[in-house]
Amino acid sequence: MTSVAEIAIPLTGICTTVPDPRAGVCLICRGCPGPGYDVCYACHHATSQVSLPCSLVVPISLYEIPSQLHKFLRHYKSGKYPAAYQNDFSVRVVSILAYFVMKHTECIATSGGGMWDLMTTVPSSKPQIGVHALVTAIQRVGALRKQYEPLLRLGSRPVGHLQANDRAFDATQRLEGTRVLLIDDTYTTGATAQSAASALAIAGATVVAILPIGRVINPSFNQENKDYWERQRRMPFSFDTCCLESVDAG
Amino acid sequence: MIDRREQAALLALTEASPAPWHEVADLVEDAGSVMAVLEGTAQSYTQKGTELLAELVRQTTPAMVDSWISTIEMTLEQLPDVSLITVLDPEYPENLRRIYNRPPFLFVRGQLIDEDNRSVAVVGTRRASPEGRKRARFLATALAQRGVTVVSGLAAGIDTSAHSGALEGGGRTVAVMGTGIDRTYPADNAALAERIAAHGALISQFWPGTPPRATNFPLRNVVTSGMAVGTVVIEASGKSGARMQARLALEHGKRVLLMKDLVMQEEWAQLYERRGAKVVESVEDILAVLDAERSVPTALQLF
Repeated sequence: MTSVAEIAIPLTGICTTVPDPRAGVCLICRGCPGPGYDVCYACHHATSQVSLPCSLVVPISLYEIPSQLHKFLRHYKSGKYPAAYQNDFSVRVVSILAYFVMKHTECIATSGGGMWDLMTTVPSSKPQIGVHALVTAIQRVGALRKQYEPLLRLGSRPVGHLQANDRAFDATQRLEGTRVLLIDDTYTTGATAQSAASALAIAGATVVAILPIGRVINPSFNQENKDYWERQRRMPFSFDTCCLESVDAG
Repeated sequence: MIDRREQAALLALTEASPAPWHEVADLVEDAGSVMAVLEGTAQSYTQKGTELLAELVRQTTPAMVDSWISTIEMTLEQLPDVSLITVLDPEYPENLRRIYNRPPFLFVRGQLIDEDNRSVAVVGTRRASPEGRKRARFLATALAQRGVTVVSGLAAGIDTSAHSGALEGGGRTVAVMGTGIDRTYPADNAALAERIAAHGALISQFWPGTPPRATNFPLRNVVTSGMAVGTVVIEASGKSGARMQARLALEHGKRVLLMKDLVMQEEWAQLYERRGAKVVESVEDILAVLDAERSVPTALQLF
């Protein structure tokens, strides 16, 4: 059987290093805050709009639009490409996820206060598409499938671009004493992921971390974002390191 | 079936676009129709895309589309064995469609066939050593004999050896040109280009008649990487365009295969190995990567 490493390692070149904590990096999502701020505008909004946000976000890679990683992350689920492409993109997306989780389980667990019991995903905001493509992708990897459980369904309130909400999602069960790793494919403003994290926590779960595959950056937004992006592009990406510590013991 | 009005509309859009042409390709691919973009019924899910759509609608008129229809027909009339394909045509190459910065249209001389998707780009310096040329030719012959289409850039040096080697192996080769489809650069390769057209295809993302401008070659390199499953770098110094080509391929999530000798000689190649490139020693190594890359596993394991 093919290993996720065989697929993920050659994709090193489509990934962009996520910075470790330092000045000029959002303490929550590792994006680019405004000058003099510790937290970016989007995270400030998202985390103040819900009761129990998760302050540990561990993106695997940054990306801009357009880019190859964006193409994979978008079209593994867009329905705009024929099934053969979609399957291929899905295998690539989940290999990046699985290989990263395998390499960094320990750092994520340590930073998040302990190992997780379950992984879950954010339900699709378009319920008509059925099972979310990310869930289908996760099912491809036995080790992820075993940890995975759908714990959320769409709630009664809408979730918007800068509108996080406790009631955007509801937990499907009480989750006292359950430690959860929340996976998502992309992270833009965090409104969706923080709404989901809060819903899990309200149901009693401890959300260890939010783990998005890609955190989008818009270098043309302002000079800070442009400088931030160019600095990160100059740092060669490696699956051996993550944004929780600059040199990872593995 | 090629729809000439859609093609003409696409050319009108690219002519009007202030943004890179691949962003136009994204918009029309999303809309599924160029006319939908022109008529203002297409939507984009990004703000940047929405602004570009509005700009394209402002800048184009139905008269421009009509004018492009006659331009295309007049141009193709003079080039009887050349066809025009766009990102909306099913004939658009499968490997190329996967990359984010694919060109919205291509001119093709000769034939592209489904089997050309099992392809490797063989690239290297224009100032190749006799040893480098020999190696490129030998490798291309061996790949061609195993039914792999050899993609290269029709340049002097390694490119020329790669195309010639594939033809000698009795196989197929595709040349991605940095000029219009009706020009050859270097001019010495005109006879080689004829042979490639007969046993493969010449492709160009530039309008016929386009001279070999320096700015064309980085765009040509994008398509060379895009057309293939992976790129083999034979001989290339740290400053050569072939190194850039390897970087493009890594950024496309394509396989980059570095010959062992190159890795031993060139520091940049060692760096690329840490960025996901693979060191290969034999044709068998390359075939193994190619076949693994073309199969989509239904199940994956961690180790």
